[in-house]
Amino acid sequence: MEGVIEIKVKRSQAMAGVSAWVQTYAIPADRRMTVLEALGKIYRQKDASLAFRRYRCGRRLCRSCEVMLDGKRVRGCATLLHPGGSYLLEPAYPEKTIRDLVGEFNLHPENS
Amino acid sequence: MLECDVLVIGGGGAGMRAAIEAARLGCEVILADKGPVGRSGTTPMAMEAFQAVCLPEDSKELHFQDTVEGGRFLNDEKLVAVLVERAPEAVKDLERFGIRFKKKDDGRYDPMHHAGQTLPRTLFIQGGGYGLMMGLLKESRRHRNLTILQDVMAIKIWLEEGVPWGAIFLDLKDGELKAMKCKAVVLATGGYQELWSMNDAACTACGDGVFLAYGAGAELVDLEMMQFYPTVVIHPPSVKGTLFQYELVLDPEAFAGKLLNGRMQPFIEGQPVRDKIIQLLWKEVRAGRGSEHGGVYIDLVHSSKGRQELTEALEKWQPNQFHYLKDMGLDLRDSLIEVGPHAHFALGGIHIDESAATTVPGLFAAGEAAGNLHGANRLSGNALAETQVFGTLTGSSAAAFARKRRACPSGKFENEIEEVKEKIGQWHKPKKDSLRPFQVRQQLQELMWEKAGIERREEGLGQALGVVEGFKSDVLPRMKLNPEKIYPLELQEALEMEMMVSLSTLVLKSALHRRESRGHHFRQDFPGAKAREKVQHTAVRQGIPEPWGIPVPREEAYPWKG
Repeated sequence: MEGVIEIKVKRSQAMAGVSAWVQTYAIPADRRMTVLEALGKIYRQKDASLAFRRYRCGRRLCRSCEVMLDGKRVRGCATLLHPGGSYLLEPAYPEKTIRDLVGEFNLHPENS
Repeated sequence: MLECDVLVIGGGGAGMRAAIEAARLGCEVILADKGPVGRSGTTPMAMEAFQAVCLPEDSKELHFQDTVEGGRFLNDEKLVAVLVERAPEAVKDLERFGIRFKKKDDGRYDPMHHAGQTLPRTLFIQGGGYGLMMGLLKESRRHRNLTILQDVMAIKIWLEEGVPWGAIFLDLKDGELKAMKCKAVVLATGGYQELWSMNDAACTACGDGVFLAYGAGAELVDLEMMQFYPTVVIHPPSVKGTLFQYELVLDPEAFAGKLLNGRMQPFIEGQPVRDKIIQLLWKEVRAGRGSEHGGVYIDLVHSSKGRQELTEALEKWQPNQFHYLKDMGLDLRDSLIEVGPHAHFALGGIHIDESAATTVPGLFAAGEAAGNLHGANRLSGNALAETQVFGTLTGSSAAAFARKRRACPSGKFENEIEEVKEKIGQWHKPKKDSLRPFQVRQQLQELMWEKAGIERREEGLGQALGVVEGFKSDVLPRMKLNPEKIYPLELQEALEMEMMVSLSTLVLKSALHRRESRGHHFRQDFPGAKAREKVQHTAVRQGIPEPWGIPVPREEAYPWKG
């Protein structure tokens, strides 16, 4: 469908003992946008309960916004979604998920 | 409850350096950051520039002169002396930590000549601010007495009889309010750029530490001084807010490009420093000669370098920006990019002395959260140098203070936690005409950009002050939050809004108080600047309704050679 980006987000509340579920959002879009921009739109316009990391280093370096996009690990600030497309977003590191797409970062990167 | 000797709030370049230093001196240290260290705050967004004297023909005197001239004589010269004297050893420390600087083939430093420098003095950190953070993180692991807490937001300094003994936190990981005890506090939370709608800083740069210091009774200075950076991408939205260094664009040795107005005409000669270039740029926009989205264009398409040579220069000096923008559909070699000024660096902040102590005993501040080093305009490279020089200093000062102090008292922090809980409870109650925190943020940011942005005048500042004062009674109580407890993003934003509204009133009052134009504070109704010997800091403190002026300290060891 032209003019809409469909995003399925795998959500979870592991710490609260709630198992994961997939929620689908449709964002009106007449242009490409990054994953991070799309998540901001969902949070502001569709669902205040969505948890994701807003931070963007602006240089594609920091991995704060890393997510799994259709099974592939990507940086949300630098990955474009296209109008008409349908995408699945999952946490980048499921075992470290705090809630939804927010994960805990290991302070010892050599172990991560 | 967690206890330590030194509590560092903020885990950017300054906070991490402070924590490492205090730990090296044997203190039990806790560092708390609102996000993941190295992946939050403004340091990871920083460019590669680190200013330190490194050429034999250069001198600390010249670094000093350049900095105070660039700062339009509003710099606390006692602090500038500390910066220029210690910056070279800060470089050596970083190299010991494994952080690398660009060098020539023969092993000598290869400094760049940035705007405002008499001689080339800008060292190039490999990996930029992010590279710096990764090096500091690696070094921090050597210290078992240093504990790093991520995703915890400090809400209040816990005081007993006016002296800090710890802090109250929101732990985003489980949504719980917690308290922490300590013997000395270092504030290294960065700036307050989020007060303005157009800013290129982290979305978390809400002035947390400046607000906490104010609440603890510390003096703040020159809050009206917000440095704007001229060339930040304003279109398209996906890469809006990405900084591209104009210094490199205009440098014939680097990219040999131009800045063009909306009519594709160049309007800048040479390589002016930031406050000057902002005025030139804004003049074009105001005269209706701006680009489509209200800025100007960076033109590398017509660079006097050939495509091959330009590509090599981009790969050498701005590889991350170049590739990031290219992958987002903006190839600088083929198309112009639209850029405009954004709030970039908080020049003002917490008032500190040469030992990085605030006016409250036991409370220290470093980096962008501190306020009296850069004056009215900061030179490129002095920010990262500041994080390391003053980070180290707060670490040692806080360690010395903590050692002399008796054990933590058994405090009544439970009452303070109850107060915060009650406030949060109000935000969760259903209400009419409710607002989400991000909506309040947008309202505030647009107002600040409009009335307290690049050009300011008494009328607009006064109006804005009235509106923001009204936010406290009429807008903040209307916030209604999503009830999620774990990683409560809306609660974090609501707490940030409280800080931002308070700080905005102080910024506006300070901007009204400074009836002159100096550096990045441009008053249309007072276009002239006072003489150097009459320059004053603008001070504010809780309990005193209006700002007042204090003389700017001069350093006799570095007499001004104007």
